[in-house]
Amino acid sequence: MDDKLLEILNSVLADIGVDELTSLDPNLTLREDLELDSISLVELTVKLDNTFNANVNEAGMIATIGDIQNRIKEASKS
Amino acid sequence: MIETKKEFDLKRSFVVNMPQMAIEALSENWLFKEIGNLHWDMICDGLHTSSFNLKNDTGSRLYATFVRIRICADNSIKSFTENENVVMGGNMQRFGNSMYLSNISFSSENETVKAELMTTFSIRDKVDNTKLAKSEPNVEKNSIPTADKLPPFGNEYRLVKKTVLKTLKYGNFEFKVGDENIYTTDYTLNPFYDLNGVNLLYFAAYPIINDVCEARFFNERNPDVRWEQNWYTKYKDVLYYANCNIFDIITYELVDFEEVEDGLMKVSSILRRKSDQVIIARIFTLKKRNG
Repeated sequence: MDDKLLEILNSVLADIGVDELTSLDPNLTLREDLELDSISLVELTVKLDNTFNANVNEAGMIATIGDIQNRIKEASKS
Repeated sequence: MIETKKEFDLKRSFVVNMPQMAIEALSENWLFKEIGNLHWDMICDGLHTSSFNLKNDTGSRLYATFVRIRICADNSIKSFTENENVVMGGNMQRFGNSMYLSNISFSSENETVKAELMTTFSIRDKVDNTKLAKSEPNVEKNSIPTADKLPPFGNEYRLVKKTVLKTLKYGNFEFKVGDENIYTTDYTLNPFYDLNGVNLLYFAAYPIINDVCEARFFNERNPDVRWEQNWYTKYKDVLYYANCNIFDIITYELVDFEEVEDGLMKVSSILRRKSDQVIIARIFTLKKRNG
């Protein structure tokens, strides 16, 4: 799951000219650390939904990479 | 007879009279309000709810926040005349659950304006209008078709916002994207006119604030030819970044201007909140000289 998540995050970062990640740090924030704006967050959400069948925003907005990992895990259980 | 597409999701007819006009042309302010309203109604139709009942999963009222609006007239808004019949129709698609994009056509017998609009959803901070949080609607049924990937209209927006793009292209025209300016002027908000029903700076006010300030520059530069009465909007692209409070002052910054063809002026500009210097919009304009 983490490899796929890393690939998705890097595809969004590449679109906005931000350096790619080499690994997933759960504490990294999407807005401040990864510089994702509202449009990029929408794109990320759609890609996560298509790949993991998980609406990561369903239980409130996500703020960190750790939040995404937790939502994907929860979605895979249900 | 005005030709209309039958496959519009939503269509309306108007007669261009005084409420729809300004300075012997179609009122750009009115046009923005109407295309924005059509966009909003297409969202509500597609989500099978009324605007008042549009809420997120925690029950907070959602507001459509305009992200980008681009209009382009075949000639200019001066081509619309009093008592003309016009038809406005639009189609909508979405990207994910929170981004909605529409294409709207506004046509008279002799002129057509094509408009593209993009919105996301926000919930309001009750005290501070500068803090609008993103959210998404909680609805049982959404009939609006989805796009597979982020449309170029949205991708350009974020690349301009990050100034990854140094120029924004439209057809043969290239607009400068930069932070340096050649003229600045301040605009004090007119709450009776510039604010919407929920005390936010109305999306339709941004281009008019821009026009007011732009006219100051061009009228100072050439006092013999009134800008407002001689140059009319052919094209306007508004990229919205932030809102403001009722007592904020807006600083207009002219980034670049150039007469690209005889009688066609290209203008790039920025609107900032004066209090914290945050950019609230970038605006790219083509104005066509009358006659």
